Amino acid sequence: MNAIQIRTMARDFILNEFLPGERPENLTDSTELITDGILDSLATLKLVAYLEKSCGIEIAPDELVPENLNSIAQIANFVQSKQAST
Amino acid sequence: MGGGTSSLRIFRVPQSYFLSMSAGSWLRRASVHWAKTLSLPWSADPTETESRSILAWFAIAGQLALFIALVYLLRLETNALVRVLLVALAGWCVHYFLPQRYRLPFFVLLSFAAIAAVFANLGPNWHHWRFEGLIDAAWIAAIGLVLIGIVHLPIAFGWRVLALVGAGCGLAAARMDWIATPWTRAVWPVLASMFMFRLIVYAYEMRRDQRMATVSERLAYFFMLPNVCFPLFPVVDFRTFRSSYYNADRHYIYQTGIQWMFRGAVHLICYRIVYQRFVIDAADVHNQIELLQFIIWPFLLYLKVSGTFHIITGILHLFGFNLPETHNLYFLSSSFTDFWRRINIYWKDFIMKIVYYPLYFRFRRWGESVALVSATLLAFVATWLLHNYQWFWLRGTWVFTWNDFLFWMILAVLVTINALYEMRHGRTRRLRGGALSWNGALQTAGRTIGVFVVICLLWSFWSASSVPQWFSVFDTVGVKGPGKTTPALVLVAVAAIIGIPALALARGGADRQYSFQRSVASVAVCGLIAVCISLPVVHDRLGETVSTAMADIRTPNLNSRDNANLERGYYENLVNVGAFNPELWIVYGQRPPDGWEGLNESPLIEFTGALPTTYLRPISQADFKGTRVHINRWGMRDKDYEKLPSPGTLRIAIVGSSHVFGAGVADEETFEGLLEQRLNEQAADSGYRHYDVLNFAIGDYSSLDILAIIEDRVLSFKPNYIFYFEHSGLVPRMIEKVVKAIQNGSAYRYDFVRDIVRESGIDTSTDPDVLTRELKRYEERLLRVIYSRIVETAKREGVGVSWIYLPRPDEGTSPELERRLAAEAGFNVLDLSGVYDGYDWRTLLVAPWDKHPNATGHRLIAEKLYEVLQQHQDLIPLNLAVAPPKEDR
Repeated sequence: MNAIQIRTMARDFILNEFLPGERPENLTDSTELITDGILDSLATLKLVAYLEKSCGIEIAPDELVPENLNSIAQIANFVQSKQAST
Repeated sequence: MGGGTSSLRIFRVPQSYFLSMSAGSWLRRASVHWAKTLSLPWSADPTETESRSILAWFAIAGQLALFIALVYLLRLETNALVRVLLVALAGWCVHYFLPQRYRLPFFVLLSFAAIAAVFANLGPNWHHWRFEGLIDAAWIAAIGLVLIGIVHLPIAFGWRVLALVGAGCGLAAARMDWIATPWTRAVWPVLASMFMFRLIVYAYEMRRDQRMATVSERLAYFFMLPNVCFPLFPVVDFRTFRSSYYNADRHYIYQTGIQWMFRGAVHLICYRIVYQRFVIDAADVHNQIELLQFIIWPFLLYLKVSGTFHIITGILHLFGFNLPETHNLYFLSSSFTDFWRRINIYWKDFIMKIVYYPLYFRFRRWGESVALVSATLLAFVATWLLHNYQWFWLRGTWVFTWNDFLFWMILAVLVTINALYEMRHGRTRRLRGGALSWNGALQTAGRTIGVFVVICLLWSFWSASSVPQWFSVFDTVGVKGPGKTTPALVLVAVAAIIGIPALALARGGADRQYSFQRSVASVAVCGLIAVCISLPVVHDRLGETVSTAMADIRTPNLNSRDNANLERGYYENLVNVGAFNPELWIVYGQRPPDGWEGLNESPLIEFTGALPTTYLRPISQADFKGTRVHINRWGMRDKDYEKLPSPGTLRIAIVGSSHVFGAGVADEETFEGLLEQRLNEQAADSGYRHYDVLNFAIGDYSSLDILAIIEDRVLSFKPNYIFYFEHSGLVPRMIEKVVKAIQNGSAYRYDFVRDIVRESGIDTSTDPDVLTRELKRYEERLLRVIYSRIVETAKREGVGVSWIYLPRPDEGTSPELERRLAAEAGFNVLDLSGVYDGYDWRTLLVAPWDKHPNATGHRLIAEKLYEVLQQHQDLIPLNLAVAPPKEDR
């Protein structure tokens, strides 16, 4: 799975699950998801479960940090690095 | 962003730049350079982290100076904060011009300098430097370095954690005074606040990567500049601390810090007003309005925490740490999970990281719902335990109480239910600047009002003395208040105050473009106005309302309710003292655990089981509040006297409580002794051979005890006069004593108590806190009868009796009720107001944690009392020489 696919997948999931009715173009790759309150603890856990299931990776609790999940771009990088390491 | 970046200029110019230019071009180019240097940065551009501007430097430094003036003038927080802010201002002015690589080491040096500055100058006097304090500062640094070193030991992580636990146990033993330490008690709160949580976060991060941070980063993290004056400190995350360092334009970061500091000051000002004016005790709740007052205001006391956290993070911003907000409009939470996310965000993040996420991942094999419920509940249990852990390190005692446990567990259940609902049904989220529909916004506003009311209820429960006491206040639900204000009006006002901003927040709006200049202008203008109003010369001319409000804000001490409770030793019996009250926390945080007990815990006291409740043990002596106290054969803290006065002697009996007893001063320093000495110095001219002043005062006495001791003991010494001393806040003590006397039956020696018990139909076997509240309705009647009985009894024996108002050094209010009732009862009313004029009241205390007057205070009281007696010889003819006019003396 390449970076563009991961971004698209993550964006779709976030729009459907957490921002229903939001215009897709408003959610950019750099939108701050944690800082802006889109990804709270519950949303983070839902997203993690989804990423683990769809991308075949395993995420540890200490990886739930803004550096990995604060934007769609960071999520894609994180998932790619996890895939590369497995 | 970036529209005006051309005006952001590098201040340092390479030498080659000058060498390669002619004089004319140098001047031309230099003038351009300076013009640009003096210009303000136009916008926050994250790429321009090295921009410098003299005007921006002046703007930030000027605002910081204004903030320091405001803190100083309004006495917000302690003098230690002013010292730290002065260190911060001086340091920032240099720090601004340093190359980036030197800034963090400089911040570390500044942090150590602040610790030294505070420890070398504890207390209210700016000129009292105590260089032995530097030894304490050195101990903090040394212990801290050892603790950090343990995390880096070249052994397995598990062993390092074990070593840390071992070190913690050793320190805990020292904290509980099981082990003697070479440092003073002042070290503990500072050391604790630096390491008790940050060490956990640090070890957690180090488990992953030990080499990720520089030495300066590590030292900066633990010894953060503002920490030394804020024992209650936000749990800053190490990763965030590092990643936020200069992660945006530095002028933006600095200005954000300044804004937050002023916002923190606003929180603290609001807190002071709420604390001094509006918070009431459960015992004072008698009608619907007071019930609402009891429920609503305690939650607002949290402004103290949010205010100090804003100031702390604001100071850190000044040195480049672009940390996130610690609180986010927590009064406007629209659900319980939202409340948990908005209030003390750093704590929430800490618990999520250390407890919630690891537990959730462990439990999720049993299903999402089970994992969510288990992890949430355990996270709140951890929060409760860690609050107690925090309290242990800061105070040295544990605070396990039912109120505290139930508060956290009820909140846990509410958040868990809310989280489950959100997991199944989702939650409305918006991108920044997004808005809800009117319908959605109205629903959110409604929910916000509901959450606010529930949190207020929960908070009032948390801060109540006992569970039965909290429930008992709801007996007043059907009792209307005396004024025009109705409960409906109060509730509508609360709904409007919370609902309208919640509605505006839900409706959202366009994100306003950040402007450095606009921010500087608004903060500077508001700051300047605030500083001007804080000047007594200004606010005294703005009318009584402003003047009174400023007096409340400028009063950094306990409110009258807490002062009275503190003085009568009420809090000594509560293990949670100060845990829910930051002002009390300051008092008890400084007080040594041993050697400062109340008089009733000393061997000087014998309990009677009747009224008066106590007597002093005849011919006894003991150390009490740092001094040796001797009791004569008659049970007085005084020299020996014959029971009956010798011929030609004028005898005065003094009655009162701890201030008159002389708590914390030596036998020869009490104002009673000094007055007697002064009277006898002029006895030759008075016509009397001698003056006796007998001190019958006993600490913790109430007016009921005083009535009993006058009847049973004082009059048998045949005094000519009785001086009854009173200060404000003693009425609650009287009620408490009446409650105890009713419950042990001793109060029934007085028919007026029996009448009140019969009339009110109160259940005398009920919880004392509940009974206290019931009897509070009769306080005026009780005091009137007690005063009348004292006057009647004394006059029957031909004894003149005076009621004398003796203010405490920090007293802000005078006891109008007591004064009026004393005059009505027939006392000669005298007033020692202004006795401490010209002195900083904090220099007149026995100790920072003890509000009794010290030796200087007693000397001032003796002088003032003598002066007042001279002026009132028509009422009390003591044959004193007439006082010369004040100017001549």
